[in-house]
Amino acid sequence: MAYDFKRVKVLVVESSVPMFKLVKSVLNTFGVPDASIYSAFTVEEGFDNFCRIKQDLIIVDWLQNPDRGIELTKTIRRKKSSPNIYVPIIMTAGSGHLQRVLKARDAGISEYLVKPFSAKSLAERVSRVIEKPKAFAQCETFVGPDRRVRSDGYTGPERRSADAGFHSI
Amino acid sequence: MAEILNENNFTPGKLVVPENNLKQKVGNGGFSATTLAKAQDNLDKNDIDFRPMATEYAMSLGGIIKDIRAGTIKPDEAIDAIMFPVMQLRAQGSLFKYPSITKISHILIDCLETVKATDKEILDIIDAYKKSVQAMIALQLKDDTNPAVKELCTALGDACGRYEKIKPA
Repeated sequence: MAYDFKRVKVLVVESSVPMFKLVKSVLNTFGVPDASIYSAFTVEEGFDNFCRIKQDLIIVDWLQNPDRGIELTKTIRRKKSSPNIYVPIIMTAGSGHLQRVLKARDAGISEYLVKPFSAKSLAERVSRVIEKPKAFAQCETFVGPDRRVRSDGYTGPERRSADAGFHSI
Repeated sequence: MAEILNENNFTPGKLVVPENNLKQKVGNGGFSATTLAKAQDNLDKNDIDFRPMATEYAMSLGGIIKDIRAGTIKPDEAIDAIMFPVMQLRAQGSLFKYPSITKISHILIDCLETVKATDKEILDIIDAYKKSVQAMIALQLKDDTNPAVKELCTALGDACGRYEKIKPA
């Protein structure tokens, strides 16, 4: 038995039509139906599409500078009009430089994928958002997956009000 | 980019565990090896002609260099402007059968990610990169092991190395 993507809707926000087609071909092979893969090429188009269709997964390119993909991520996570601030967002970019990854993480992405990518690396990111979704940190300045990644345990004081027990929603 | 304000009232901060809608839809089992192989095959067999896109990115880079030299783009905003076409060339090169362009773009990105503002020397390096990409497109130098490609990459890498020595990050 494998994942069944027949009921999954994906929004792909890309820099060009050929790139969208390429990502779409991989998603098709994963089992996402043609009609369930939506395209957008700007932040505005992407957010509008998401508000109407409420896709289950978003794959967004870094896009035109300055940082338009980052802007879309923040819009989805922070705007009251966003239909789902918790939607998994996989950001793709042509650079894996640490500062860039941290910037994307601080915007609230779920996963980061450096291009050029392989089918396996995209599948790994998709698997991670399915199997290991992080709890969401929500505060005045940040909304997004918990940025603490160390597994050796945090020994400092717990400063978040809800750390004593996660809120399930 | 103006900061996108958090319109939701998340004070005090908290951690929440959102419902895993994606998992509910796809079920269990992961990706099969056959699916991954087929998806990779689709990626590898795409017949999208990269040359028009690459030419456009190289031309836009030329325009940006011209604007920076003319002073219409501020030096501290210039790196962001340059990064977009270079990141796209790096991202798309290998995906569209030009690993040579991914390789040379990777060298420039490594250098640019540590540069804060442009100057004459770095613009000359970017110009040399642009000309190398144009040569790769014109001569259809796709393979990154091609001796001419190796030579162009080495020359660019050496220039970046010299620049980093003169102007460390």
